[in-house]
Amino acid sequence: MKFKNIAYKEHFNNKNVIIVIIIIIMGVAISAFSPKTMFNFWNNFDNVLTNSYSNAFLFLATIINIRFYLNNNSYKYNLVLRYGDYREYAKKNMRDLINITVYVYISYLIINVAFSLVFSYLNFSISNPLIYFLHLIFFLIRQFLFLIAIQTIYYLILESYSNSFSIFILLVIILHFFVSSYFNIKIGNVYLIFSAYLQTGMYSSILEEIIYSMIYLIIFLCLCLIIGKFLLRKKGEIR
Amino acid sequence: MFSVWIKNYWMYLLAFLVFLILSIYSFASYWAQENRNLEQNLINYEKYCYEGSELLDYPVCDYETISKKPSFFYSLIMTFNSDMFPKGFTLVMLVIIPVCYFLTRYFNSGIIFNELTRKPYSKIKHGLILKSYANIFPFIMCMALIFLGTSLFTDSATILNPDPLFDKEYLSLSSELDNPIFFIVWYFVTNILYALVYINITLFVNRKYHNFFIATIISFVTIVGIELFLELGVDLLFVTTILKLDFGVSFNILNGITFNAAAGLGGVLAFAITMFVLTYLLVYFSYRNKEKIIMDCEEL
Amino acid sequence: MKIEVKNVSKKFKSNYVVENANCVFESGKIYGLYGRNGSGKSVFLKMLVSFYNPTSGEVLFDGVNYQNTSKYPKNVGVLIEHPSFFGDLSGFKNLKILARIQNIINDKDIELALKIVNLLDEKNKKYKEYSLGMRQKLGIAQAIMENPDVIILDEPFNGIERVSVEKITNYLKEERDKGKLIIVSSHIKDDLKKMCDEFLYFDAGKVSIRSDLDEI
Repeated sequence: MKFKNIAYKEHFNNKNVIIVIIIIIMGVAISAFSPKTMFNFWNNFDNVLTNSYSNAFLFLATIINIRFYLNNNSYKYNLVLRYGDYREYAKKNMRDLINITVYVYISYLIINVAFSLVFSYLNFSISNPLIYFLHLIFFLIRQFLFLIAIQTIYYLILESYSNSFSIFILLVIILHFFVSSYFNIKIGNVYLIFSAYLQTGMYSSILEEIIYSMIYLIIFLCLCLIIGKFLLRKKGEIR
Repeated sequence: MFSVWIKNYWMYLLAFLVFLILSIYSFASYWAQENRNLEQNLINYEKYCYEGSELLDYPVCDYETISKKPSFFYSLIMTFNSDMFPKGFTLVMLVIIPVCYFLTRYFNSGIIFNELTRKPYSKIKHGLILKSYANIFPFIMCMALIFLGTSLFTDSATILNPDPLFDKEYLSLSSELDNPIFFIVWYFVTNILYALVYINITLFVNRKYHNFFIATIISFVTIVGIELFLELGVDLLFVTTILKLDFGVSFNILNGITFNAAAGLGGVLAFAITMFVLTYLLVYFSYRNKEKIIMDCEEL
Repeated sequence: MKIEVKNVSKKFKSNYVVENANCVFESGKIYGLYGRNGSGKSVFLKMLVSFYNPTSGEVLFDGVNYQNTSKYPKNVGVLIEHPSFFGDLSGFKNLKILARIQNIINDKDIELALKIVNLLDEKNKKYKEYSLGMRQKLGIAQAIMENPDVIILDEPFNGIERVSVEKITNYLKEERDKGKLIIVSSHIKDDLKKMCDEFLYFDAGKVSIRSDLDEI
């Protein structure tokens, strides 16, 4: 995964990178400066990870990345004939975007660690380290998967539909973080998609958490495949 | 002509519809809840407040209190505070999206080049700003509808005579409601000023970014960034820690609807006016140079 | 290489932009598409390369109909409408990014393409600093750099000085002699008359084959 080959330099110009980093910093700062912050690194770290606002800003940073990356239609003419297949062109874009999102997510974690350290006064105490770290790993996996799934679906929608429709979808995605009680779909006590990964503390054991994480992975995969197949079946017109 | 108008301004209409739906939903759900509470209070009264009951001295058995309609200001603030009412980040998005749509369309079309040969730049600039400001009308109309609806559903006498228990004590508005009409006007003006602040920031961002998507996100993030700076930098670090004063709590551009006037009405209004003036200056300086705008419109 | 156009029509809302076009394009020839602005030339070219789908009829690229598939015809160099590149990158870098996709040419081939369009001296200048003519030249360079079998250029000489037009025209003639299929559209008769072997005349969506443009 060579950084240089991932995307065009245009996408990674200084202006775009600064904007993305500022969005992430703001998202982390909102929850880092909230009343839940304590003198404990792991509490602060967890607080940022599970806060609705910082997650909303993480998604904004990812989605604005997609917009920076996507080309206008005239440039698409240069690309599609060289790829020879619209699906290859879309797959390459999605691969690049996933690579870029990895960098965004790592930046988010680094900024989170920095803010959590600042307010922790170097207090790293934790009551059940093994269980906590296992839970943390699964949470990070679910969060990352959700990010990739939403980003992939959003890219496909943006590629296939107009800007205005995409803004509407963006609003739904972002608003659901702010009014999540109206958007969460659940079966029994188990939250399904949307900000389901934010629901911590609902698993009675690590095994249950592993099983539900696998279920989320399968749901996201199926969703991406179905939407991808639907939107990429015909190349459509490039107007 | 109507179809052309719809094509140009459909985003404004959509924002208005969303404002309207959310406002009506908040209003209806609040009053539905109030009616449910009233019914439950009456049932409890029937059940527990018989002669000789131990609860006769408690508020639950004071028929006058439990059967009273909620007062105007109490209902108003409760409606505005409900989950689904567009406030905070939702309000910001609904205000800035139509403005971004209008501005990016305008700059991307290149029509400014045609207009400049027909009318002076100052006129074009003022027209642009005023048309952007027009997006506060959906918001004002929905607020006005809520005010009107609330006055119809409540005991309208409480507009001029606020209830001391629910309005002044429960909502901590004891001094603010000494002059209720002034409070209503103040509430409108402050929220309008906050909405204009959002639009000013959007105008500033759209000066540079002509892609609808990117301009919307950056405008939103800038507004949140300014809010963070005010709350953390100005209030927490400067006013509270260094100056050791408590009026910094009103340094907040996202709380207009939810009414955060711990530092007094005058302080909040002064802050809102200051923010409007500062952001307007930002717009003024960024749109002052005609040549730079033309060069930015020409850029790919 | 052969492109067959069979009863192709394209309708937008209720207007026919191209109506019942029938023609065959073969290798070893330069075809000129002539017509006024808005006569349907660009739409026709977009249908040839599958950017647009015809409302009726079919376009066969070497016997293959790409219409309802996810594929595009390969080995085609195209410049349709305004060229588009990354503003912050130089002309050379922009071409290099595109060349990386198929990876069949090297830097020397890119420089050769820039030399043909008289843009070699400005290859390191950022694209956003290019004038209109220079952008058009870069668009042509991108279409020809990978030595495609089919070259389709839509109004390529807009804003380009005479010297470069002559150079590009000579290049296209050389490619034609090597057996390539070249389609060029323009609303300027003289440009087409100097290099084209056959002509298609577009008049309000209707297409007719002409051997000579002087009769129009």
